[in-house]
Amino acid sequence: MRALGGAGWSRRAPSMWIVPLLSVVSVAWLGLLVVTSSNLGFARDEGFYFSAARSYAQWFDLLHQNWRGALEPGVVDAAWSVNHEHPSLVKSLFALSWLGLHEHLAWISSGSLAFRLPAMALSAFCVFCTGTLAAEAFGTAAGLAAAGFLAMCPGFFHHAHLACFDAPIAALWVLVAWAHLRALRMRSVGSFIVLGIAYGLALETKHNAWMLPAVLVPHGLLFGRRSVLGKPVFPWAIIAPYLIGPGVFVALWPWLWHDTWARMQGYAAFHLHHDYYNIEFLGRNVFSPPAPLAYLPVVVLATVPTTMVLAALFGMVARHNWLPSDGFSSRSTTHRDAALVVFCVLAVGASFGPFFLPNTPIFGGYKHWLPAYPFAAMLAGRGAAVGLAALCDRLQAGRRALATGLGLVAVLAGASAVTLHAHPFGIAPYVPGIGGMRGGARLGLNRQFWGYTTLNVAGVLNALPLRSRVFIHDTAWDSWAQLQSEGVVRGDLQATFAPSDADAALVHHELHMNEVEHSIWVAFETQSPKAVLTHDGVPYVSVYTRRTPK
Amino acid sequence: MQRPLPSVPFVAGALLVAVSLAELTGVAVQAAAGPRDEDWAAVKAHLTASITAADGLVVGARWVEPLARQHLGDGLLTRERLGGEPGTWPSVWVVSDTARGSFLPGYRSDIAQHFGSLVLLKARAENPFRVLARLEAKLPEASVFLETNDREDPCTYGTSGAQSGNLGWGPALPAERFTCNGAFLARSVVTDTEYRAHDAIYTDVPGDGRTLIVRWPRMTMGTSLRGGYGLYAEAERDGKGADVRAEWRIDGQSVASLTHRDGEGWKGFEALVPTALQRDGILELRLQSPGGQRRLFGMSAALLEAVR
Repeated sequence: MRALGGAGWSRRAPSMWIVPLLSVVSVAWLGLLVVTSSNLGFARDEGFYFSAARSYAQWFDLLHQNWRGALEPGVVDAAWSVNHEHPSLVKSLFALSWLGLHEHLAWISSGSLAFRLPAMALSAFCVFCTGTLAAEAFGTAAGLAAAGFLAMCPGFFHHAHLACFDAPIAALWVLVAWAHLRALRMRSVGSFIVLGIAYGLALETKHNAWMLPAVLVPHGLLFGRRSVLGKPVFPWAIIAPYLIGPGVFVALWPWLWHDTWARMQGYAAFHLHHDYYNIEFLGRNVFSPPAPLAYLPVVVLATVPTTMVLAALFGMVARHNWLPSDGFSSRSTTHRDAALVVFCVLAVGASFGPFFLPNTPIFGGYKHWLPAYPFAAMLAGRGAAVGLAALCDRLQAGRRALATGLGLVAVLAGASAVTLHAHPFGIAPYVPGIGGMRGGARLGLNRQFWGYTTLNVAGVLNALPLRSRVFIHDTAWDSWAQLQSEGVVRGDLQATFAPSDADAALVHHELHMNEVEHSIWVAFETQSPKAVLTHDGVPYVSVYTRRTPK
Repeated sequence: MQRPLPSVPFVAGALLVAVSLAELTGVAVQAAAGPRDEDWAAVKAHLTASITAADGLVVGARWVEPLARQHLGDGLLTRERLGGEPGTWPSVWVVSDTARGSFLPGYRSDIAQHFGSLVLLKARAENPFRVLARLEAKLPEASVFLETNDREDPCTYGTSGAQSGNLGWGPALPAERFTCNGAFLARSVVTDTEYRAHDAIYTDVPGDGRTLIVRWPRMTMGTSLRGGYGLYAEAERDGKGADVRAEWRIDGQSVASLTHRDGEGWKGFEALVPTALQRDGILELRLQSPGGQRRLFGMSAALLEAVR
């Protein structure tokens, strides 16, 4: 990503080593994701996307061998009808990664890691872009802090592991932000085309992209109506995404190559009329809209490190002339600073906004507003940079840089502790301010979702007698199959979907899942689980075995 | 000369560093502060030595319950104690991760005892009573009939395989149950709209003018019949189902007529037994609904005798 510059936007560039440093940080963080992936179980969605990616991989194989045959409408539809309720870009990356790195080259022995790697890489790219954008607008310290806050935001860290779309769409929002700001500055045909393509890629990643116009249009109107000389200009930067993006969207999604309009309508309808999912909030099971007005604020405050929240709030209101201008960092122009601050505020607002509307369902927690977090991290970076600069202001230049570096470590230490401690239960990374994991449980906040913790009781399952039947509860069949294919769970164990058919039974503890546990009490004639998986003393999964063989 | 006040950015910077370090410390402290196995073992030892069959035992914080069931076992956390109606225990033990002074209306708690991070306390009913019978536990002694047009067809009590399913299937059907003409009645665990367990007499209440009758012969009636009733959560969540009517009779005389309407959730009830009926007699529960669509109903009740 090039540093912003040019007339009207000119400024002292951030430290020359910011890009290499952020590259190192991002790659190191990617490495951390890879090494911490093995104990993070497969969410239900991942199981579906593994299956979809395998179907797409077969098509890519066929495309390589016989491209004419692969483009036959029936062949395209057969391969791409799988999971056609979600766009295909990220799943295609899962497919290509699995096909290339696992199946053909065998560089990655774990199939699930091969599926997950593209989302991890996009997340690392998101950390890099977040840091770079913040550094360009707010200075070097802000860039480093922004990258650090995002990397160590527990929700983003958790979802960055998964072969899902939530972290990738956050990355695409940041890419669109970069392309948009660049188009406003450069006003070249090339920059408009890049913006349009970036928006198309976002559309092809997840439907959160539908909310981007609520950011791009007002921001473009505020910052893109006039040239650097103050003359009115045609707002190509505002229009380009909608001229080019849909074409990219359709071109990259083979499911839309035939019967395009009807299938696009079907895609939109699926998400506009989505099933409501249960979620626990303050001890109550919420299963239909409207979401309680307090839902988003409470969940954000409970799961985003308090340091990051405070830094972001301060970063949002801090004056431009408080930004550091020398030593460890450099000062940006008022215009560039304001443009990114406003963009960040709009992006956070557009991500959060739908969850205050009366008809927006709760689908399952904070992951649906994940695109807000890179922008919140940029604001937090700005706030941290201002605060640390003030703390180090009276030091000599050389010591100031060192002190600022130490200050950055200190400011990120709390978030890092929360994030690393929450893993692999990062769906509910409750912060110390509300009492940590037990505080979240006491408040009646959701602890997990869609049965992803089955992997963490694999040891108990593998100690069951040969060919035991296991009620896998909320584990998706595809996720169970992946656990078995990778040898995490013994292959002779048979999944069942009724406790009464099983020799052992799992319960993923969620409030509305209590009924399943009550059924197990009756079917197994015991209330006492053989094992309970806990984190900080809070139960996540119980494993029951029959008192007497069935 | 006065020192200038710290600037807003200075205060913000200091606050961010302080909060971050507090979060770091908080994670370490909170991770080490949960209940330990030895705490549970100590609670179990204390309860084993102290609890009586007439005592209830509840887990004060719902999220702690799986651990309580694992560590205390079926011997202490029985089905009756987990799913029995509040108010049908003369005295109740409460185990929790936090002290609760007053947890049940009508009970007075003693001083709490601490076992590591766990708290154990005992509470007694303000108006003492003793339990003569828990009717769900006495179900095998009952006879069940399906009444159609004033004709009673007996249901047979037998053992077959338990039946259960995943989310939304409904309460499990235990191996031992009454069956007759497509109807069933059994002791099961019914999940209410707050996702609490109820050890209950469970049936899918028939419609079409039919009445399901449960009859206990030779019961000692005591002074009151106390319990609770409601539908399985998913069966009443939409609020569209027909009412369910339950009637309690002693020797043919009605002592309680109850109606459940969808959306009401689990409700408690108490019926005072008329003095003339406070003797051995026949107790009868009659269940019916104008519409029989998924009326997955539970009734939990106990015969109590006031202690003066």
